[in-house]
Amino acid sequence: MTTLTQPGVHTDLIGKPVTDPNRETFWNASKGWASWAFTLDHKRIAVMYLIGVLAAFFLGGTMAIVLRTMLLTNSDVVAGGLGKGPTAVNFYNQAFTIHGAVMVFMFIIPAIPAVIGNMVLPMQVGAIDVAFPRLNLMSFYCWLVGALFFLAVLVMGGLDTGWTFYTPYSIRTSTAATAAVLGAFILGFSSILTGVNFVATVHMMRPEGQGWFKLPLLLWALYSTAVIQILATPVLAITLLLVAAERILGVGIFDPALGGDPVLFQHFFWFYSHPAVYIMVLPGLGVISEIISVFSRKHIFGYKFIAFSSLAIALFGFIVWGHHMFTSGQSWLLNAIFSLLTMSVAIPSAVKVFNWLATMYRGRIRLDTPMLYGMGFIWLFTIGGLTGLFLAALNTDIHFHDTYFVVAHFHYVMVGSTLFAFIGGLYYWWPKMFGKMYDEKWGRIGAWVVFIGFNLTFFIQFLAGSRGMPRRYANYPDEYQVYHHISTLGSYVLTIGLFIVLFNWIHSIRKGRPAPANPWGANSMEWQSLSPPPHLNFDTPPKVGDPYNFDGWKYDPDIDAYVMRDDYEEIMAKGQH
Amino acid sequence: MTTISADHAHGHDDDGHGHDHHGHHPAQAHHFESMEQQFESGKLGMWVFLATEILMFGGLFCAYSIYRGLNPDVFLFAHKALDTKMGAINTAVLLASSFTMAWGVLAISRGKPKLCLLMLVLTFIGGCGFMGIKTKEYYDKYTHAFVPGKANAFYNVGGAYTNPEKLQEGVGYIQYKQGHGDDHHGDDHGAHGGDHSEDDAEHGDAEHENDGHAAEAAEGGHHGDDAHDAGKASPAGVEAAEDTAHAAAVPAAPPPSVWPPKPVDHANIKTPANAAPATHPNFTRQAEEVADVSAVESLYKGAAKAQAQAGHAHYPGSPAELDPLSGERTHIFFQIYFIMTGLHGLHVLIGMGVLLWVAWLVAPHAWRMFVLASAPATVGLYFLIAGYLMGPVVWMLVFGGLCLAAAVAMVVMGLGKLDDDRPGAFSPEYYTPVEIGGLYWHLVDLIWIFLFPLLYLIH
Repeated sequence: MTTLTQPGVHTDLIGKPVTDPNRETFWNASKGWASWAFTLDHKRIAVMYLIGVLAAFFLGGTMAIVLRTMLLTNSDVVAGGLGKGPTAVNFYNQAFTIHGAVMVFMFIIPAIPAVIGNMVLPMQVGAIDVAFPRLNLMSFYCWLVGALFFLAVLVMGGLDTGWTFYTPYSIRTSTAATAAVLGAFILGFSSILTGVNFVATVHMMRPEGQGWFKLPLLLWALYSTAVIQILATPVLAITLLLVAAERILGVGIFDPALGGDPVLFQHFFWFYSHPAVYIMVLPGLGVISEIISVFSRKHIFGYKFIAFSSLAIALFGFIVWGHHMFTSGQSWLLNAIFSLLTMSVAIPSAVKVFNWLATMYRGRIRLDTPMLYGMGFIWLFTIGGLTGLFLAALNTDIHFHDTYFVVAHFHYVMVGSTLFAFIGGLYYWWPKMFGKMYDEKWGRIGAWVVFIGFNLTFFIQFLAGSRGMPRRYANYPDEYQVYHHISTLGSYVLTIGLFIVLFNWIHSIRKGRPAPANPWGANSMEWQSLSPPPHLNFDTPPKVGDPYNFDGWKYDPDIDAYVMRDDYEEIMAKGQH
Repeated sequence: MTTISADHAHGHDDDGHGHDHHGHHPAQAHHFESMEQQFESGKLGMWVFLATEILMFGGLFCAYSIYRGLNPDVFLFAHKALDTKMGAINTAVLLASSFTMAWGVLAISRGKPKLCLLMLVLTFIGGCGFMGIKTKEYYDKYTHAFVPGKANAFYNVGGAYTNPEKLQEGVGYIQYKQGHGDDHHGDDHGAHGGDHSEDDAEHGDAEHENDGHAAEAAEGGHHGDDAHDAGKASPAGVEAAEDTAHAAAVPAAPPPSVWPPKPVDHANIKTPANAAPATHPNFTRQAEEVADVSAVESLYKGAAKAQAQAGHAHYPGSPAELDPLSGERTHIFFQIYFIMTGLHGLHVLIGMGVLLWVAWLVAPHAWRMFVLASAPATVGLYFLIAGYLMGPVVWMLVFGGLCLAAAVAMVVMGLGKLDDDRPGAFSPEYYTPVEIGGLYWHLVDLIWIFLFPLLYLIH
């Protein structure tokens, strides 16, 4: 890191220090708890969401460590204070259910759209706010109420259905499944409202000159995500309502004892939950498109391919849900069709990976923390994606179904991809959000520890699964012990890495260097505002240009940041290079 | 964005929204550049939201299609319990309300707030009418044990019916309805709470006699054994009578079903725990064991009429005629019916709330209290009428009276504000809430347009 001539101050677009100590930012624009609780500012809502989803992540992560610790041993010997008696096994069932449900509904689905999307999306279209600020706040409160339902589940007897609420067990279980499905229903509303907002914002709020193909790719990804949120979530909503009606009234639509059809539940559930997988991963793909291009100092390769591949993933995502039911007695014809359709998702996914690699090729790559997460993402997403093909193929899936192979596969996609994109994205937009730089050295150390810990935890699970270790079991034969030992060890390393990340963030807020307007030399519009932005996002209207044309910014070593060239507008008008 | 001027930066209040712009419409939010952009955004958002609504109901339509596809006979049989005439009237009511809603939007877009208000009020009345008729329908279903959940007449656990006496009521009613033929849909059971219509009388009587009949049976009348127990022999006298009955009834072709005129001995109905498939109540078999068909006819005119008019052979007459597995699913028709119409009814209620809110905004300030008063007035009238018809139920009458009193109080308060000359909130430049409220109302209407044929008009 360069020695800075003006280390203690914020700088603006042209590198001039921002000296006004009372400069208005969205942080200090108004004061008091009510100014946060009733705020309509998308940036404050993003911050509240950030705190919420991180708390959910902590809860879900704690459960993960608990269950990994229980899996250290396959005997009745007490491990980590938890034995394997009937009580402990029940506890194990609850631990993996809470882990899954909290991580999916409360963390991964809202994480990137509601935190990074809320923060960045309106600014990337140069707008003051999202189209419907009140709905945005309502979305946060829906999340909060849904989260409270899940907390209530914890004290009301837990939940042991698995996050998928499969019937008929979810109808019969004595645990608090009703509260859980209602909680997930409300969380679904939160997701829908965010989606409605993003679609309307991207359609209606773009400034003159910013056509669809001048949107940063993050917005294409968020837009595609919003489409899924809007079209899939309501189906989950009605499904969960029906499960609640089954539990409360006994309507019997999913209960074979009452003439109902449990496989119908699986169809309904996966009609939402498979697209929901893309709700989780698509925003991450968008974040990575930003990071890869900016830190390669090179225009994104194949813009339109990446843009349309996001839409393609969203659309394909709707027609592949049957691959979750290859072993549920689905007809061979449906199985074959779903198998084929599932493999088609590999095409747009691969398009993205190849385009990122082509973007990096001959770029001037800066290995800053966000880029480390970006490259880690490509690595893990590729593994997660390719192992998905093993599960899409019928013959191998019959073997791998409900084994640790599946667990490893979706953790590579959910954690390896989405979590990496989320952390990388937060590092990337951290200066804009909080107005502080983080410690680069510890950022990189954290990235490496997380990467190593993650692979240690989950790669071994591919091997365990392919050798027949079933998922969701509290106990296992001796020969699987070594896999579990390695995996549990990895989960501890991963935890350490994540705490390094957390401490780095906290340290940044307390002691970080004031952030310049554009530390990375990115050209999407949010970087044309000060860090952190004022209440209304921009003091002067941002200039519209190709978001991946970085020629308009020049590195200024004095402030370790990029400043806007005088001839910025001509460079933008001229186009790339 | 053209400018981000100083008044943007400093004029904001706590939430930063709603401050003044020079030369801007007061209703324009600060993050929109023009009223048009704001209007189009609102409309787009509403359309997108409507898509989510359609998909949510889509899940139910999907469940409906699957169960109907698997068990067409169940749906044919069970849908006869519904009242087509009421459904048709409700369809007309909702269509008319959609028409007035559209007229209201047109009126405000042309700067006629008073006409718009009138149309919104008419639309609201349409909503009230729909919910009133729906309540009546639900109440009728309730009197025949067609209810959601475990108390349903056809509720079946593991192959055994769990509510035998309700099952009798339910099957009897459906057969009675079948007897009335398609052109009489709905005529037959005008009301059970209060006004017995002429046509209803005979069925109503049959029902009432049903109650008395149980007592008769207990006295050891013309039927004694439990027809549900297949292995059990009938008393000799009964068998003799049965022969006569067969001769007297329809000799050429046995009727598709005969409603057995006897209460079931509950002790012999298998409970779910020990039920076996062979012990399903079998109404066809019961029919053969019926002692005295003329007695049946005198007691169950409706059911007998059904038998006499049994030309509708394509309707299964009872669950026993259905495929054994289908019979277990008869209750699912009602579960789906109640979930679909219940969710739709909830949407109508929400829509009525939206209508009231929009009407309040449209109205000149002098009238706003009157608009507001219509909420307690509606609730009060609803409880008064329902409370009277259902019992009377005292608490409903008291609650309804209190609501009406509140409405009167609000009207009195409104009379004191008649000199407030501020106009309503909407103008041709800004009427987004009317527009999107209207879109929502049309969606609610549209969903019913699908529900009506799917549930009521199955052939």
